Parts: sequence; structure tokens; C-alpha cells
Amino acid sequence: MWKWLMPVVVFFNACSKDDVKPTEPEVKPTNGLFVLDEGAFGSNSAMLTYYDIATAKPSGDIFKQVNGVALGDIGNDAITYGGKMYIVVNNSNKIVVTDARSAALIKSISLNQPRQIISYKDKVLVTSWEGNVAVIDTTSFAITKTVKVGLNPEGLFVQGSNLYVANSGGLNFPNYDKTVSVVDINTWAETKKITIGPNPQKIFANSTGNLFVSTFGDYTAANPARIYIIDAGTNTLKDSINKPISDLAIFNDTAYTYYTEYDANFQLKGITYPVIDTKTKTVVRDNFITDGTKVTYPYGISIDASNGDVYITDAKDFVSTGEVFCFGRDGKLKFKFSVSPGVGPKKVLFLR
Amino acid sequence: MTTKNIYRIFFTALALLAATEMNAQDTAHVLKNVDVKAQKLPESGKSVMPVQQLKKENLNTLNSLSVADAVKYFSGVLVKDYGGIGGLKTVSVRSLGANYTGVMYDGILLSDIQGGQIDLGKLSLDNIDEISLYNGQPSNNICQPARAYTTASMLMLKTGIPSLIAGEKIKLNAGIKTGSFGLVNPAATIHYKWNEKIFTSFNTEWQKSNGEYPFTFVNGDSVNKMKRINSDIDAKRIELDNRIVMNDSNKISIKAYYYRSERGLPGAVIIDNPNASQRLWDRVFFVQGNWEKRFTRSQLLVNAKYNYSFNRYLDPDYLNSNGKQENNYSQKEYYLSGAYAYDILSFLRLSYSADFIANTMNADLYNFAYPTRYTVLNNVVAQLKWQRFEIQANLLNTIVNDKVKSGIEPGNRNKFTPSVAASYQPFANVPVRVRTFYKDIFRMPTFNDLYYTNLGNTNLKPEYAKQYDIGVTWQQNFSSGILQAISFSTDGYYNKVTDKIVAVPRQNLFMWTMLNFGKVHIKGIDAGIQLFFKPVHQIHLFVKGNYTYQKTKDLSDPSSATYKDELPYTPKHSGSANFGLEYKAFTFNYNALFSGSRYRLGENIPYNELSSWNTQDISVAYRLHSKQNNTWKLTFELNNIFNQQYDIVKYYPMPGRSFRAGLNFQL
Repeated sequence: MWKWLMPVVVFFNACSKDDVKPTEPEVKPTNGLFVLDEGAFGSNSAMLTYYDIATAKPSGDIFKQVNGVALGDIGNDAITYGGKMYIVVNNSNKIVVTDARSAALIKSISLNQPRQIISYKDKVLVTSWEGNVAVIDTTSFAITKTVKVGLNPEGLFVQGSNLYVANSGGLNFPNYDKTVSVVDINTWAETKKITIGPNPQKIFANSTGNLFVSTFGDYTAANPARIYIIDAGTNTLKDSINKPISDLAIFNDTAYTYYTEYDANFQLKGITYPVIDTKTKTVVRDNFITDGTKVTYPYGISIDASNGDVYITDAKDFVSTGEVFCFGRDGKLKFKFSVSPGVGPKKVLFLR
Repeated sequence: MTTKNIYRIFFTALALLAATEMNAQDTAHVLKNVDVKAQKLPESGKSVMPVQQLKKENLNTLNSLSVADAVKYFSGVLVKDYGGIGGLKTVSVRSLGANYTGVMYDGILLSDIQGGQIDLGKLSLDNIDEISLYNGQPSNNICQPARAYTTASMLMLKTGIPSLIAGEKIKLNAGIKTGSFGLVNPAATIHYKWNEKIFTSFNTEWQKSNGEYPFTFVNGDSVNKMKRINSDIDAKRIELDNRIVMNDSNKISIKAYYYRSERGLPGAVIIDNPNASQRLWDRVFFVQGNWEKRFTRSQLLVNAKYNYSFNRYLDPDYLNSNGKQENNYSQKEYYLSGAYAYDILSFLRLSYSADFIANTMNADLYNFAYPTRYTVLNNVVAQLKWQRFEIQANLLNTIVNDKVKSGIEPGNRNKFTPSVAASYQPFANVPVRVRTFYKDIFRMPTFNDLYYTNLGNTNLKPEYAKQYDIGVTWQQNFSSGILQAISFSTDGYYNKVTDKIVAVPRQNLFMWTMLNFGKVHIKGIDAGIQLFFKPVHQIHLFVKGNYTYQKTKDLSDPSSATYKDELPYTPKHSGSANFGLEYKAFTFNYNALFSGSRYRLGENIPYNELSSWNTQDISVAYRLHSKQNNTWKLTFELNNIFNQQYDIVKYYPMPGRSFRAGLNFQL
């Protein structure tokens, strides 16, 4: 009787096939860009795309090609510092350290729900949604200090002798946090909380020493998204710019931003790219893009510090392959590339 | 078994029940004096709408605990299974999505106004006597509630009817199953005949498993043996049925149903993050009644139901200011239906039915709308029927009105939707029939679609589906040759979905909304064959096979990377095979499922492709008839015998090889 079954068994087993392997050929990063693709939640699809300037070709998932394993779930932020790349993988609870050029894995550092990362004096500082900032030594790759701040911290910035941390409270809808923590970097202790507006996200400084903090607001008419200005000398709220934005990057005291606007019925009203002079706090122009280039859903903005090129990432519908657009400061498209199969490209790093 | 002994067992059972807060011990299976030899072929071959059926004796051979496990063997059905006994299992028929599949429990629709999808993993097979899946709508009898016509396909579940033989007053079925991953699954049914007209059945079941099954997790070059955690389930169910049979043409039945469960939500397997601590509690209570009266030329059917369901979700590690997220949702439904059918001419039957439904929902969500929905359904059906030719046509009118305590009301909706179906036997002496149907239906946005805080959109319109089908059936008994009977059917179909309700991001990843955005075309073929062989040396054999082909096409947005691609999780090819053998007191069964490769996301690129899988199960049962009408049955099941590691939903691994053993007796 078992003999009768054999053809069935063989047929069914013949239909199985091996897991799909990446088909892209390996490339050796030299002069180009690394793009961190966030990936869809719960799908372990955070990726690193390498874009080679000379050949104008994207690599596919270079992290997996080099290291043989996938990066993890939700690539939230990344920086290069001291010849290393530090990749924050939010839902895999880790900071992945690689060689900044080859993307070869050096070490993974565990941290619960990490979000954003900066470097400061042989250290990297990472916010964790648990309500603190981890101070990581870049020689031993060990967490040497954990600084308690506010609820669900996101962006952070060092100015003078202080670290400023945006406490979003993003997981505490509808009662978002509204504060920025001031941390003394000599003692690594929080000294003050400055109250601004609901849901603070990113912090940047301009040459005057003022800090610019973007907020998402609480999605009501009373508290729209807005940029708050903090005087880093007195650590007080100084002013705000009544211009809602989703994200920003600063170059030569000019903030390049974007905003996806929805009407009361949740229909997409439009996408704007306000350019803001941070010294005069005025909007220079409402639409940075001047050549009509259409980005489906802007999801990140990065600026090349060497030449001021503005990179806007396009997350499309968050489930299909994203795209990266490079613009000159005149708002004209220089080039674009697909991060296939990457989903939700977010941060661009520059390799030279 | 004496009546006294049965009472003793009954009261002991009741005492135990009380001790464990009305949750149950014992066990059961309504083991009819089953005849697997199937001289009688199902009526499905004559149905104007495609129908597939599994009866108790078939269900017993499928190594299945829930309705979801069993319906995987139907063609045209995709079960979205998140793995394990406690994992969510929803059913999409012909790729229309779970919101288009209605589930009727003893003639009345199970409802979930919040999400619109019934979790068939929560419906135990223990008390189920028969499962029928109709494409379109139930077409065996046009005297149906209007609600039976409101979905694109209908899964009808019938619970056990007492099979007391003459002179018997009481019957007990009890059994217990145990097996891998800490499974303990006792169940019991008691049927009692008060007199010749009144019957009571009491059924109860307890399902418990730690769900900690091993699986292999492949991350590129790294292959890890892991164990599912926080995958436990503890579910209890009680059903009480009273049936009053005045005579064959006048019947009343009243059912009370209570289900409660607690389970872990293991979540997706995440690289380097093994944490899983979310919990879900469910309670469902309903009571429903049904009165059926037949007159010489007409028939009356009255149905009523009250349903209360509650669920509580807890994430004890959520990083908000409370350090946890907890949500409580409850919903109520009041339902009343009347249907009347009349034979105008010998070949013409007309029916009219009217249903009223009121749904409410509460949730401890910020700014929740507290919606109430009133639905009025009116349906007329005409049936023209001759020996070799039948036509059925209906027109359904749906009026929906939502009221909210806060926020915007979406306004009244008033829709007319028709269907028409026909079946024809071209040659009088060849039992082959050709059938075809067209059905136009829609699904209302659910309460989550409309009102969920930070997600719902009260501007949503209904989502429309048009179905076209043409098929052939062949059912025949043979007097010579090795075959005793054959049953074959195949249908080709074409579905068009417009204004499909999809979730799209807004502002940032914390804010999504629902829009009528999608457009989908679906083409497919369902085919099924059943062969019953003549007994040889007391060996009875049957072989069944089902095959499904489907090609879905996303036509939502020409500028999107998903344009003209297949929908996520819709394999082009899938199928099942069953093989059964009976020799004296032994039965042996082999069941196999196959799914071709499919895509995880709407963009059909190699990275999103999931490999095909197949599972094969076997079972052996030994039945012992001791005294008169007393039966003992021992079963042993080996599931996924080749330990196939597979995901139906990516990163929700399914169990590998596992076993179950069961003991069942009927006194």
C-alpha cells in the first residue's frame, strides 16, 4: 500500500523549492551612498542598499550579500563615525556596527527599542523608546552609561556642554510628551526639561547656536505640526515657526523640509517641501522641488555635507520598493535610483 | 448503560463544571453509526450554486481540531493561518477576502461587526456534524433568511443532532485527545429525549495547549532551531440545544452558546527579538431560536438571535506612560428574520424574506464613536425547477443606517443587488449537469474601517464584488467495474472587485487610514473529484482530490509597482488529496495539502516570493463495538509526517511533525 503513496509523496516534495536567494551580484563599495531601508514592520526586511556613483547602480541588500544574514526588523537610523557604520535596528533591539566601507559586520549591541543615533567624542549616543539615552563606547562597543530622559525619546543633538533629547511620547496617544530633555554631558545626568509642543521629533542647531525642534503635533487643529526654537544659551523656549513639517535637514543655516498634508477627511491634500531660512525664521519658498519631479511619499531627507545635495527618499505605499531622489540645492533632480527590494528608504549615508 | 449511571455521570459532570467556573470536562463526539462506504452521493451535484460538503464521518478523518483546519480541504479556499491552535485563521474564498465569507451556525449568521472576519480557528469541530461551502449563497432551499444572500460565499455549519434509536432516552458521547505541545482536549455530549417531541443536547469542550512547537528559522546563512513562545491557548465552550419536533413539518430549535478563551499572541518571528507577551481574551455568548413550519404548498421560517461578544487585548510591555496597552471591545447584535416560500406552480416557487439587524459596539478607545448600525434586508427569490433544468434568481435590498455618539455619521445606504443561477442536465440518461451563476454583492465597511481611532474613515463607500461562474458536475453510481461511485465537479470563475477598502499611510507610520482605493480582477478554476471503490476482501477504499487555480490581478494604480501583479498570499496552484481505507474495525486515512509559491507583498519580485509547501498527515483508528450500541474508538494521528517547515503567513511558522492520540466512547 505504501508503494501506491510514493508517487504522491514524490510529487508533493518535488513541488517544494529552496528559499529565494538574492540574485544581485556582489559589489565592493568604493565611492557612493549607503541607504538604510526601514522595511515593513514584522517582516525582518530592514536593508542596506549601496549605490555606486561611478556605475550609477544600486546593489540590492548589500548587508545580506556581505554578511550572509539579514539586518533585522525596522532600520530606523544610521551614522558613520570613526570608520564604522552604526545602524539602529529598532524592532530587533540592537545597534549593528559594521565597517563603514565594506559593511562587514563587526558587532551587534543589544538595546531595547533604539530609535536615533548621533556621535560625540569617541562615543555614539542612542535614544531608546524605554525612556533613556544609551552612551556607547566606540572602542569596546559597550554601553557605558544609560541616561534617563522623557517618554519615547527620538532625536538628539549635542550643543555646547549639553545633550538635547526630543521626548516624543509617541506611544502615549493622545497625551504625547511635549518636552526636550537637557543632559549635562560631563555628568550624563538630565538637568532640565524644556516644554515645547506635543510629539517632538528631530533636533538640529544652526550657526547661531539656536536649536530647531520639529514636532508632529497631536493631529488636532489646536496643535498642528510646528518647529520650535530653543535658545541653547539659556535653555529656554525662544520662538516657533508656524510651518508644519514632517522632517527636516539643515545645511548652511537653511532647513530643507517636507510635509504631507491631509484634509479633515484624511484625503491627501498635497505634499510640500518648504525651505526655511533658520536665521530669519522665514519660509524662503514653499516648494523646494522646482523641476516638477514627483515623489509619491517622502519619508526621509538627508543632505550631503560636502556639496549640499539634498536626498529625498520615497517610501511609496510602504509595501513596495522605494526610491531615492538626489536634488541640487536649486531643487532640480540630479539622479534617482530604486532601492529594490528595499521598502521604506529612510536615511542616506555618504561613503568616500 | 443504565439511565441511573448516566444520571450519575451527568451530575458529576455538572459538579466538575461548577468547580471550574462552568468550564467543562468530558468530551465527545457524536459518533453516528457511520457508513463510510458512501453508496449515497451528496446532493451537491444538482445544486445550482457550487457547493462542497464535509459530513461528520469525513471530518473525523481529517486530523483537524477546528473548522479552519477542515475547510483547507475545499477547493477555492485559502486559509490565512498564523500558526498553532490559538493562531488566527480566516478564510478567503476565491480570493475575495475573509470579509466576503459568511459563516452560518445552525442557520444563523455569525457576526463580527468590528472586523468583519470570523476566526474559524475558534470554531471547534467537536460539535459539528456537517460543513457546506456554497459559492454565491445556499441554494438547496430558497426559504432562507435574507442575510444568507449578503455574502459572496457561505460556509454553513450544522451541529450534532441526536441520533437516539427507538426506546433510547439518553446518550452520552465522551472523549479526550492529547498530543504534542501540551494538548489536552476533552469533550462530551449528552443527548436526552424528554418525550417523543422534545430533545435536549448538551455539549461541552475544553482545549488547552502550551503551543510551544519547535520550528526552523532561516536567516540567510544562519539556520536556527527555535521554539514558538507565548503561543498557549485555553478555550472552553458550552452549547445547549433544545429541539421541539411537533411533527416533520413543524420544528422549533433553541440554542445557547458560550465560548471563552485566553491565548498568547506570539507575533511574527523577529530577528534578535524573541520577546512576545501580548495576550488576548475572548468571550462569546449567543442565544438563537428557529421555527420552521411547512404547509402543503408553502414554508415559513422564523429566526431570532442575540449575540454578545467581548475581547480584551493586553500588551504588558508597551512603552507608553502606563507601561502597558490594554483595550476592551464589546459588541452586541439583535437579529430577527422571517422568510416565507410559496409554490405557485408545480415548477415555480417564490420566496420573500425580511431581516432586521441592530449592532452596537463599545471600546475604551480615545474619542471612540460608539456606533450603532441598523440594517434592514428585503429579499425576493424565484425558483423555476424541472427535472433537468433549474433557475434561481434573487434581488436583495439592503438599507444600512449608522448612528454615532461622537464624530461624523456616514449617512444612509440603500442598495439593490441581484443574483441569477441556472443548472441544466443535457442528457436524460447521463448524470452530468452544467451550471452557471452571476452574483453582484458588496461588503459594508466594518466598524474598524469607519470608526477606529486614528484609522477609520467615515467617508468609506461599500466595496463591490461581481462574481461570474460556469461549471460542470458529474455524479454516478456504477454497477459493474471496480468503481462504486464517482463525483466530479469543476468550475471556472471570474471575480471583479471595485472600491476595495485598503489601509494607506497618512502623515507618518503612526497614522494610517482606510480608503476605497483598490480594484482587483480574479480568474480561477476549482476542481474536485471523489472516487469510491467497490469493497475487496472487506477493504473499503476512497480517494479524493481537489485542485485550485487562481490568477489575481491588482489593477488599483497604474503608477504603482504592484500594478497588474498578483495579490499577496494567493498561490496560483493549490490542492489537497485524501485517501481512506477501512478494514473491519480499522480505518486508515492519509491527507495531504499543497500550496504553490506565492508573494508576501503585492510587488511580485523574487525577494517577496514564498516557496511552495506541502503537508501530509496520517491517522489510524480502531473501533470496538462492545455491548449493544456502545462504541469505543481509539485514534492515533501523525501530522506533517515529513516535518515540513513552512509559513502560510511569512514569519508566522506553522507546526512541524506532531502527534495526537484520542479515546472516544459512546454509551
